[in-house]
Amino acid sequence: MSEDLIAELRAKQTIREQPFRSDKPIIGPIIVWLRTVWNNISTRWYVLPLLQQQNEFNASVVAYLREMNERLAEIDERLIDLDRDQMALTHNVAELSYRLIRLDRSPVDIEAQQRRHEPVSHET
Amino acid sequence: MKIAYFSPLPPQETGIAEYSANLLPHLARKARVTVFTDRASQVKPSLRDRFSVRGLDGFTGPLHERFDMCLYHMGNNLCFHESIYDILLRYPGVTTLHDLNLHSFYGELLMKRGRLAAYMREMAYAYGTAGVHHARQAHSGLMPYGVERYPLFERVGRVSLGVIVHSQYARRVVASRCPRTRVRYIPQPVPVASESITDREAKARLGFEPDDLLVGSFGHVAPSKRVDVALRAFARARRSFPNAHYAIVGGVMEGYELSSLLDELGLGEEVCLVGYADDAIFHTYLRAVDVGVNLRYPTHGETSATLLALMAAGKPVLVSRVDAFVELPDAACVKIDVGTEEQSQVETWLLALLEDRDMRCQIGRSALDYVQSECEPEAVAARYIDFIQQVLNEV
Repeated sequence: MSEDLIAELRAKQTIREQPFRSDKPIIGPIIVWLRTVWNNISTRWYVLPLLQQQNEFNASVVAYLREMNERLAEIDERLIDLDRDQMALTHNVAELSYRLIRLDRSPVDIEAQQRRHEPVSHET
Repeated sequence: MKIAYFSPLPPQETGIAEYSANLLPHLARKARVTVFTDRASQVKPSLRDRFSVRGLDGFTGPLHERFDMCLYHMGNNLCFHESIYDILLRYPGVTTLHDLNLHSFYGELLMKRGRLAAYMREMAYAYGTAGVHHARQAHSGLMPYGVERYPLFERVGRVSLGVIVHSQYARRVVASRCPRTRVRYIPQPVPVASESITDREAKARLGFEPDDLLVGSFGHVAPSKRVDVALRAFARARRSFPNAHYAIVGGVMEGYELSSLLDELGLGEEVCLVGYADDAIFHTYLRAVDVGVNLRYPTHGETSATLLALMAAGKPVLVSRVDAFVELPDAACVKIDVGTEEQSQVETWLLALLEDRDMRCQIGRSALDYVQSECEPEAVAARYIDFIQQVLNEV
C-alpha cells in the first residue's frame, strides 16, 4: 500500500455531522430549521455516539494500516536484499562450478602434458 | 574448450537465429560446441547435420555435463527466449545480450500472465523501492510504464559471469549497472556474400528499369523506424528524380497508418510495400537498392542487423546519430541528427545521394570495408573464444 493511499485514508477517517441544507427559495430556511429540530429531538442523541464509535474504529484501522505499511516496506527491503544476495550467490556458485570443472580436468591435462614431454623410450 | 550454446536457430523467425547460424560454423572450429535450442528436431538439417543439437529440456547443468562454459543468447522476445532465460538463471555463464531493454520480455512473461507481484519483484531487484513505487503508480494508471527508464536487463547482467554486447554504448550501460560482471563489446557476425548478381540484374528481376533509382527501408516498420520522415523526404526528392522508387521490405506494425500516409503524400506505385520477404527476395532488394534508410529513434540501445546487411552489400545508408549508431565510422554511413533538423537533413542527403553516383559508391565502399574489417564471422568467433577464455581465467 502506498504512502499516498494511507494519507488519503487518514484524510477520510473522521466522519463529521453534516448540517441540513435546502435550495428551495423562501421556504428553504424553514425546511432546514424543521429538519434540524426534528433531528435534535429524534435521532441526534442516538447517532452522535455511533459516529464517535465509528471514528475511533476508523482511526484505529488507519493507524494499524499505517503500521502494517511500514512493516511491509521493511519486509520489502529485506526481500530485495535477499533476492540480490541470492543472485550474487548463484553467480558465485556458477564461478565455483566452472573452476571445479577446470580443476577436475587439470590432472588429465597434466598427465597429457607429461606424456608429451617424456623422453621416447627405444626398445632394444 | 567445450561450450554449451543456447540460442534459437533457423527456421525460427528471429534475427538471433540467423546470428547463430552465421556464428556457429566459425565457433565450432575453435571449440567443441553443443547447441541447445527449442524444438531441436525442427532445426534446419544443414545445421543439425553439422552440430550436436539438443533440446533445452535435456540440459542438466555444466558441472554434470562437463561443459567449460555455457553461452546464452538473450533477446526480448518471450517466444524464443523464455526457456533460455530460465536455464540462464539456474546455470549462469556468458550471455550475449542482444537487446539492452528487456522490459517487454518481463511484461509478456509476468504482467500479461497476471503475475503483478513477480513484476514488482523484478522492478525491486533492479531499481529498489523506487522501482516498486514506479511499478505501482504505472499499474494504477497514474503514469505510463517507464520502459525506457527501466530497461530491466540487470538480473540477467548481474547473474552472468560475462556479458557480450554489440556496441560500446551498450557496454558502458551494462557495465555501469552490473559492476561485478565482465562486459565485452563484440560486433555482430555479418557474412559478406560474394555478389551472385549485379545491382542491375537485381533491379531487372524486381521489375525496375536499369536507370531507376531505388531507395529502401528494411525490417519491421514501426514509428521508431522513422519511415514517415523518409517518405516525406522521398516525396520531395521525386520532383527532381521522377525515376526514383521506394521499397519497404518488412512487415508493418499493427495500427501503423502507412497507407494513409502514402495517400497524404500523394505516393502510389512508386512505393513498393514488399512485406515480409524470404531470404532470396530480401537479398535481391538489398542488392537492388541505391540508397538505404535505417533511421531509428527513440532506440533502446540496440544495434541493427539490417543496417549491417545493407552495409555488407556496399550500400550507402542514412542512420540516426544516436546511441550505438554514433560509433559507426563517419565515412561508412550518413548520420542524421534527431530532432528538428531530421527532416531537412534526410531530404538534403537523399537528393545528394540520388544525384551523385560516385558519392554512393564511395560511402558504400567504406561501409563494406567496415563490415569486412569489424564483423567478419571468423574474427567475431575468435573474439568470443577470447572472452570466454578470459572469464574462465578469472573465475
